[in-house]
Amino acid sequence: MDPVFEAAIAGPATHAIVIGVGAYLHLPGGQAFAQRLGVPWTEYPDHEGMGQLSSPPHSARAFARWLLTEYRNPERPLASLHLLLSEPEAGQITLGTGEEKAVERASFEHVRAAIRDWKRRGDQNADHLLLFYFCGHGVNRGFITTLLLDDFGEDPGEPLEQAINLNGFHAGMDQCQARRQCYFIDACRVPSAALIERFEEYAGPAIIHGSAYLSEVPRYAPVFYSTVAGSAAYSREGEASLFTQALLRSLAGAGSKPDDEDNWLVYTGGTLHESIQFLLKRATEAVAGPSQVNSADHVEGEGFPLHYLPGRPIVPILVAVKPAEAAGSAELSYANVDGSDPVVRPPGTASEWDVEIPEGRYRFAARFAGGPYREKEEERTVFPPGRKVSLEVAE
Amino acid sequence: MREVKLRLDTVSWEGLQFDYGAVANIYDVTADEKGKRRRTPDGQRLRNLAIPMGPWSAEDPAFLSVQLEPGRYMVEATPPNGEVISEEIVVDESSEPLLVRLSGEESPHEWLSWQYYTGNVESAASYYSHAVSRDLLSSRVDLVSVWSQPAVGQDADELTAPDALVSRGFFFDLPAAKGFDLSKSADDLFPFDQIDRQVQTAAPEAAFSDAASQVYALESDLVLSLHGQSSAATSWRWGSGPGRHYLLVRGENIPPQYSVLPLPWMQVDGSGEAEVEALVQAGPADPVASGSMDQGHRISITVRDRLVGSVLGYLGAGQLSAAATILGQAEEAIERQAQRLLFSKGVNQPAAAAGAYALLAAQGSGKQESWHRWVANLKQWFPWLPDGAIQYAWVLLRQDRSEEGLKQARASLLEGYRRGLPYFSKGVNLLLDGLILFANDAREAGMPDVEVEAARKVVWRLALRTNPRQLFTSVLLH
Repeated sequence: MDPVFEAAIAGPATHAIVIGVGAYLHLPGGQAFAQRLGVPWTEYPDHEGMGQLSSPPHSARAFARWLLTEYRNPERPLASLHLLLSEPEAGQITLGTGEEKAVERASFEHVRAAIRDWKRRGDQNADHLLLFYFCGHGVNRGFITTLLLDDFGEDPGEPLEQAINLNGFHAGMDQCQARRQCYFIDACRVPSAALIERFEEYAGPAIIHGSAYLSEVPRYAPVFYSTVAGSAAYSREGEASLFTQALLRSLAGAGSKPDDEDNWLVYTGGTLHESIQFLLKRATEAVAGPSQVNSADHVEGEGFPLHYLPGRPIVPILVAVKPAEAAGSAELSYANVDGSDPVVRPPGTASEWDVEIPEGRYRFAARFAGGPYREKEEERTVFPPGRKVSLEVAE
Repeated sequence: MREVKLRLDTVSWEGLQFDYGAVANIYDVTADEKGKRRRTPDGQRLRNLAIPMGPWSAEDPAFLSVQLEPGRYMVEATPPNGEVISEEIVVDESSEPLLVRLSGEESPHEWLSWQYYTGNVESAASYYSHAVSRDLLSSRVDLVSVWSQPAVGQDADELTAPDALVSRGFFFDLPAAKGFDLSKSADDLFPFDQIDRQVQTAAPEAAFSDAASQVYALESDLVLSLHGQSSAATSWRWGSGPGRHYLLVRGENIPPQYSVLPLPWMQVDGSGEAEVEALVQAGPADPVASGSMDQGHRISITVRDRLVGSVLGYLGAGQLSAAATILGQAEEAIERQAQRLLFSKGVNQPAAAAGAYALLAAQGSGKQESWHRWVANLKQWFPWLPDGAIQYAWVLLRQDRSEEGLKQARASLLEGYRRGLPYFSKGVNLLLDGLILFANDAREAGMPDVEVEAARKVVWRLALRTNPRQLFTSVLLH
């Protein structure tokens, strides 16, 4: 299984595998995918309402594009990217050079081959960094989580044969020489009555099996989940998921902190988890949707630097007016503290103003063309992960 | 330089304060005339501070003092619930200390304050935003207390035969519990039929409640009242007996479940017994709309320990690095008490086990020798504590790759399994992970390890039913 991107890097490097499963061959609605593949469609009978997903290919592509175009790790540049996408139409991705590359589907066989190749690359240097990203259906009970691949349910008698036992896989990756690994799991972690019965004995293949002969060198291998065990993960139709959007905004700055040389870095053990939590909460509150609380496991110590920002971090800020009913008639703005480079939102929008601003100190203002409210101006520091700037206006 | 005194204010009905409450960071954000942050001089960025947390009404509100150069700073604290609480401060040349009292979102009730900060309940804004079911109206809550009387002439701690240990609880009864009969009394539900075991139950009164939550404040007095003031009971209170205690909850639409109660919990600072707080929550009225598929877990247990309460909170929230940070800064205070309180045969072994989980996660801390010895002692001195044996197995797995080391690790895992239900859910997780690794190796070698396979099968079923979001082992019985 060849990666979609490969670069010759001497020394430590980053190797990534990105999987997005939107089309499920044997779940309801999988006919179009079967037609594309030229195979007869059969339905897995115990699907329990699971079906096709629109978001995972968007989410996985967005993460892959970020890796190809924005990922910055001078100590470990990107050396390879495996991308597997399952969607009704044949997938492709545009590389940084503009070249279009065809993408393989995320069947169990393809994913297993890609994971083995990814691990093989990780075995070549203990200082390599391995990144794993999955978006698709997930099933969970208690401590056990399984990720479903596009041919899940092919054999209704053994549906979990086309899935990954995440616990086993993560434990098995201790056998890889690369001591820095990072996992992003953007999937529901809901129980499935039918699968739980099978879970009594088995949760799917681990692909890489663990051994009690643990590596002598400690491994840092945090897992960032889109949701807590037992809960669903959400997305808007046809867009990257809420978690992946929060992850990418965190990597753009909300999850970063300055180091001793004043470089801005995203650490795995730093505020990445809290930043995603902050942004997810804001996203679900904005649409008054169900809450989604992310979780993390194996986040040990400070972790390691995942991403070095090229400059100042971009910080999400919510500008609000108090009382809220004054917002509609307010002209909102922010500018540097000397008044330069103003950005203005004209009156007429009653909602809070969601902006992304480089870290620094700014002057925020609410102005009114007529009564009854009086102008308000405040200086505030914009700093990751972000904040709400409330301008209290008086009549 | 000016002294800056930091704390995190909570709103609580009582004065309990956590001296090492929340992890905080300070960043210099002094900006130039354009608003660009200046380059930070050395020493003006303070990371991983453990600041006190508690109500301002506490008798003597504590602060953490730091010295800062004049400038503008961002102070940021993250309590165990993951909320990022930040405040911008301006430090001038004044000789007076600058008091910084951070405060986060509001807890739904003062009596849910600690449950809120440990992440077990949502903030007030979210708590009231979705409807809950009427589950709690039909709930039945029992405290189940079990211990075995040491045989004549035998010290309780020397009991090593698995069948003699009461810590097993429901552990081996899970398959049978599938046909759980709700009409049975709690006494009948625990499979302790041997004559040396005493099972007593009580129905505690909720200290506080509303439609969504019930809070039970539990201390050893309740257990002693069940068993009488016998010498065995008195010695148990001081940690020398192998008693185990559970909160059993069931009801209409509430799956039968129980949680380990770490009673008695002696304050690690030596100031007496800490309250163990049990929260029982109603399920959502509409699980789908609330974003939860509701696996049915309803119990959360927290411990109001002044010194390590936050360590437990961070551990329960899965924030192992924060737990290790707090533990590191509380270390001096803990070490002052260590020999007497944590690692002697007398007092708070579960607290020592909690600390060992945090330290296992921070394996590069350079403190290996001393705490590895703690773990070895936990395993050897307290055969009723499954967690010590499991932790020792993992110390060996990570430190000793010799055949003998692996052999001992395997034996220690199986010992942990025989000792029964781990106090901490992390113990269930590590027990399963370890058994899977040994099972894999044996299968790979073409010689399946029958003993390990049998244990793996049981622990796998337990792991499916254990709530991974709780610190203390909390298990569904279906």
